[in-house]
Amino acid sequence: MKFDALMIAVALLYLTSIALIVVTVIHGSVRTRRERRRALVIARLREPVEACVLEGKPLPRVPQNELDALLELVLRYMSVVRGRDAERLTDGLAEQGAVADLMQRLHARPAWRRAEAAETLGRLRLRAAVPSLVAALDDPSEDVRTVASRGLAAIRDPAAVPALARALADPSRWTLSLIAENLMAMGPSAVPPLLDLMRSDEHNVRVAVVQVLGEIRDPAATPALIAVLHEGDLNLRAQAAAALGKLGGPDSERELRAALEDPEWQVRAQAAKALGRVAHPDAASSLASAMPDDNWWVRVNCAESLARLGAEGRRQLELLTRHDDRFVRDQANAVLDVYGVRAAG
Amino acid sequence: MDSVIRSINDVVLTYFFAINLVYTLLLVISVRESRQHGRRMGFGGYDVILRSPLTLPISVLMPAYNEENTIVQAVQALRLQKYGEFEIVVIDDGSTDSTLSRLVAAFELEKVDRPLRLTLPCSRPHAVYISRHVANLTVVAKENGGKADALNAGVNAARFPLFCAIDADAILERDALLRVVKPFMDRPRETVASSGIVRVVNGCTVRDGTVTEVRAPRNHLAVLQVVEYLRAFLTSRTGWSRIRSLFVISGAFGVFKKEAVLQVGGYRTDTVGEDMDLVLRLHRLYRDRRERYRIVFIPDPVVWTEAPENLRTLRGQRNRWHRGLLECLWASRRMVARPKYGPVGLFGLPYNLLFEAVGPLVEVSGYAILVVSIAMGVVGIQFVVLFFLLAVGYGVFLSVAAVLLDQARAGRYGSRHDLARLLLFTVVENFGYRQLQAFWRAQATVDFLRKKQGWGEMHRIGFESGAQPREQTRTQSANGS
Repeated sequence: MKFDALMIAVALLYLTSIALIVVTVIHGSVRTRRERRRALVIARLREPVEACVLEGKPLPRVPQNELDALLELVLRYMSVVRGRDAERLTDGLAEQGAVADLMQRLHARPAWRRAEAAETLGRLRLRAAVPSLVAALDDPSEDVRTVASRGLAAIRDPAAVPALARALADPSRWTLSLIAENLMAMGPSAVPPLLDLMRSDEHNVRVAVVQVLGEIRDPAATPALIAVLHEGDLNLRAQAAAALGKLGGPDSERELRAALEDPEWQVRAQAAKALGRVAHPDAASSLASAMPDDNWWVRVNCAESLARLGAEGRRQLELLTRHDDRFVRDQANAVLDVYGVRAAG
Repeated sequence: MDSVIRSINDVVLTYFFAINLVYTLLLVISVRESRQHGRRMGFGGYDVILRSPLTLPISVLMPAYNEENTIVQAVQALRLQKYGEFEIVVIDDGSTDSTLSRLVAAFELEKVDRPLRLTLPCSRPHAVYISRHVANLTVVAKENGGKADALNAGVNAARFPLFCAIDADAILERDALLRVVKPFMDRPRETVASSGIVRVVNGCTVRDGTVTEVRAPRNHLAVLQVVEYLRAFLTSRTGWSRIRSLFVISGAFGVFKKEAVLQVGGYRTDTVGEDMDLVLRLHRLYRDRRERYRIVFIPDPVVWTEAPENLRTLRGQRNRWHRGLLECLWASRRMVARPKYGPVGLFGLPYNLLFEAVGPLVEVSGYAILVVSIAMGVVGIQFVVLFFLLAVGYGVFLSVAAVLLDQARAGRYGSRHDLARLLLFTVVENFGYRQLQAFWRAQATVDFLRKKQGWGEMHRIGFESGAQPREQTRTQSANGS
């Protein structure tokens, strides 16, 4: 009995291994043939699609089984064409039912199919797809939500901004940084809904909003960020200091100089770094005064920011090399040393 | 006597079926995960990671000990990485050859008076160098203290919130950083560490620090290791990662959240398994704190590394790996089978203990008992032959699955001849190589019990095509690099 069972197991194993190899070879050759056929269709369609882009001719009509190849070709052109040329391409696809098919695929059962459809709609920059993509922001699959948000950002329709901003409020599973990046890509039109979102109770959302506002660099966000700098939450205040450094301007600079005396080292360190970004020589004396700090990061950021402030910054650093505090002297010497090597390079 | 031998035979048989059941489960999970990952890659968003100002900057740490032949080329290759903001920190771990002077000459390094904050304990750094023309290169020269010690020095010098530890003789693919950082972008708060696949560079064409043509090695021992690496990474680590039990991130390539590594006290310098040890301590830290975290393996970021081409070096490497495993298991013994430590305590560590640590001893004693059983007539020769065929068949099945999974997903080995060669070696490895490995690992267990230290010797042949083949011998200090 034991012997027979072993024999069957051995035979099964070897047969499975051989079957695996055979299936892989067959699968590989089928895939290769399919790719070759597709390449041939694309080569055949290239010329009429080019004529559509360059000469304003209508997009060629293709049979249903060649629609995917046409879509692939159009997507390649979509990254280089804008305006009416792009519209002609997408209208041509819509006439042949490709767009309706993509919208339909947004409801497909496998998540990867829904994500693929969202991705394609985004790449086609179809304004008509905005409501469907906004709806896809509530999809149970994280991949679909991420791709839909990226698609909305690519379309750059202001109507999508509130939905994207709301997406920041989704719990931790959301890919915050990707959404944030998409909002940044939309620029100042994203600022008002983000300012509304600043009133959210969700800490992570507020941190993300502060970061995004910093990256968009619209001065309209300065008062709100200054307000955050005076709040109680340490992380938020440090992020606000960093964001104000990116926005710049006299109000930001004044607040950042004041933040160098904040009781929390994280805020002082971020303020010091941010003042280096603002790069106004007047900040040099404040940074030099803040340099004798107990915290290593504050000293490092003050010294590095001073090195960015041109002649006045370096003059302050020279003075600091004679400071009573050994740590301040070391840091000033180190930064001047590095600056010297880089300048000589 | 007969009944004793029969009982032992039954134990060995049960063990055999249990271990293969685990491998099968891991294979099934890995195939599923690979499929999902492949689809997800299509929506990559790598362009977003590349250009986003929110992408986390990385410090790439490269410990180097007597790497004069490859160090300049390794740094040049790193500079080509497709990634936003990153710095390269080379830690010269007291090399006795011209590693440091070659770096100084090639990159016009200048000694600077930069204070290092020694948050993690490490041997005394005696100089910090920066380059006149490569703004993101820093070289820390320190007394020899071993790889873990050098990495600790590197973490101390690192400026960014993530660090990537790589070997000085490894070649990172140009988009490896971009891909390996994706888990940190997807879930920035939860992700603590991530790693990619280590592939064997022997036989491939390398130009200017980039693998330009992937071929199977001509050296038989190296081909066997290609199969082994594919099996280990694609059908094992992928599976462990999926069930949140990844217990090792290869020392050749891994990205870590610096803050987390600082909290566990950095790399331990008294073990040869510092990479696994660090990962297990990270698991412990987060489980003890009951915080959500992720330590992940993803199969598409690639680092190429040279596999030993002679038995002596391979034996030394495997002896070290197995001692490292045993040291880590000993250090983490309190986590084993404790629900508090989640899947890694309930599955990962018990698997390592029962199958990876004890496995070679069972295998070696199994062969001895088999001989005794045949001699005493307890089992028939037909049964023995069938059982051997079953063991070989299962080994072949797992290896074939790994090679084909790689082929279906990445298709790295384009030539049919190379693929056929790899498939042939999935059979060959079961006749001699597998038994040799078991024997070496059993020996390593004895060495561990005798508290043997050290890394042994690493003989290297350079991998740059067109260059004269060069042989390099690396002999390290007690816990050397």
